[in-house]
Amino acid sequence: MAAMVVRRAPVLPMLASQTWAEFLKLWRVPAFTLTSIFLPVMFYAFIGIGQSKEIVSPGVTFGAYFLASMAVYSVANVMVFSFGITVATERGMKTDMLMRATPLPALVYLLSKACWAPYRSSPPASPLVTSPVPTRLSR
Amino acid sequence: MPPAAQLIDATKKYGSVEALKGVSFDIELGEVVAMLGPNGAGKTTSISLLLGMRNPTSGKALLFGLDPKDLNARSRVGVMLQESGIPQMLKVREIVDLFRSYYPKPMARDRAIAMAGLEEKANALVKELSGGQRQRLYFALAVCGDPEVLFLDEPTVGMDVEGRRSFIERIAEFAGLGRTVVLTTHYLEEADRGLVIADASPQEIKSKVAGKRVRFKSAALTDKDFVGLPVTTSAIDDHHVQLLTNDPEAVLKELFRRGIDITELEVAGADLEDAFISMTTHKVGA
Repeated sequence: MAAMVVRRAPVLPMLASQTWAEFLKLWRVPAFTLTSIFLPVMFYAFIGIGQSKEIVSPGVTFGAYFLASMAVYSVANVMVFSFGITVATERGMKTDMLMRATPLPALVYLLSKACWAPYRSSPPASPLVTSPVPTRLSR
Repeated sequence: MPPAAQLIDATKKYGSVEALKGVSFDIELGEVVAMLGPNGAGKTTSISLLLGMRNPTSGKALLFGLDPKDLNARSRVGVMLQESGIPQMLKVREIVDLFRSYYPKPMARDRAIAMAGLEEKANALVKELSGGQRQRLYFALAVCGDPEVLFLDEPTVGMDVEGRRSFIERIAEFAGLGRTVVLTTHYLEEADRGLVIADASPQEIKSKVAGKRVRFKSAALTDKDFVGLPVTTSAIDDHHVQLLTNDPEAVLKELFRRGIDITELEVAGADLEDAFISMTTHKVGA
């Protein structure tokens, strides 16, 4: 036991690749990309942009207000999908059993789901970025 | 050097059901071990204790002398579980890369995929794979971390004959690198392929249990007719009689002395399956 050198994979690359995998998993499900990326962008384009200069309360334009609303909507969607639905499906398929047998720390697994949520919902935060087309991503 | 995997008087209860009753064994580095047993014998339970997926009710499970939940121990182990799903929307090479990132010194992605024979499917989504291909993907995920010990729980379930044969060759290839392989199976010929069963080699078990199988056809026989014969087990199916014995000559002499009419006599070395059945039925009777 004393002779054993610490032989563990570094956590940060693990977190990075797990986060990337979590992203790909959902990105390829149109039901997800459509509702959490495309819809908020579309709502903002239809409702937000037209009256973005209107002041809703001192110092806050309707544009900023609605942008924040759509961002929250999008993040909430990610939460539902990423934490709710995927965790449930993965448990149903016993993926969690396999994960528990690997050296992946449970915390990294959870963090990876949390990590990409804000990142993924950034398109609504910058609606002028070309809206991502919710089709299969061919990397 | 502590053994690669160790159960010390381990007991596991699921409610009132006792799945393991004080089991102890050591698996040394470099060994190839097959766990045999009928369904419900506790093979999967043993493995999940060794991997720290379940806690023993009493006793201990150790991996490299460490708690199986210790990530240092787990980083040296690759696993293929009997029942487990993997994310459907990832491509083969992506999920192999993902699992490689869990391990300190993984093997190259292409090598892991090649070891599992999935080169052509590297760019396919998991959900597009057939059952056998998926099983091979699990194998790729188990070996991609270049583990010292490989746990395979019923790795060939649902594979056709050809698939199983090539799969066993892949496992042998991995074992040939000097690695430890622990597999559970109920396909006996897999364990018969030079792998070690429990604490004995297949030959030892066969000789211990029953050396020869005597088969013949005879009309109107009952179990009573075999009382006093030196057989380990006897089975009568319609008019077909099968006896397992270490002393076939004595059995036949006695049968002839009793004047039992025999046709289609056949004496052969018992295979592992006979030995296995004889061993497990023995246990039930004891």
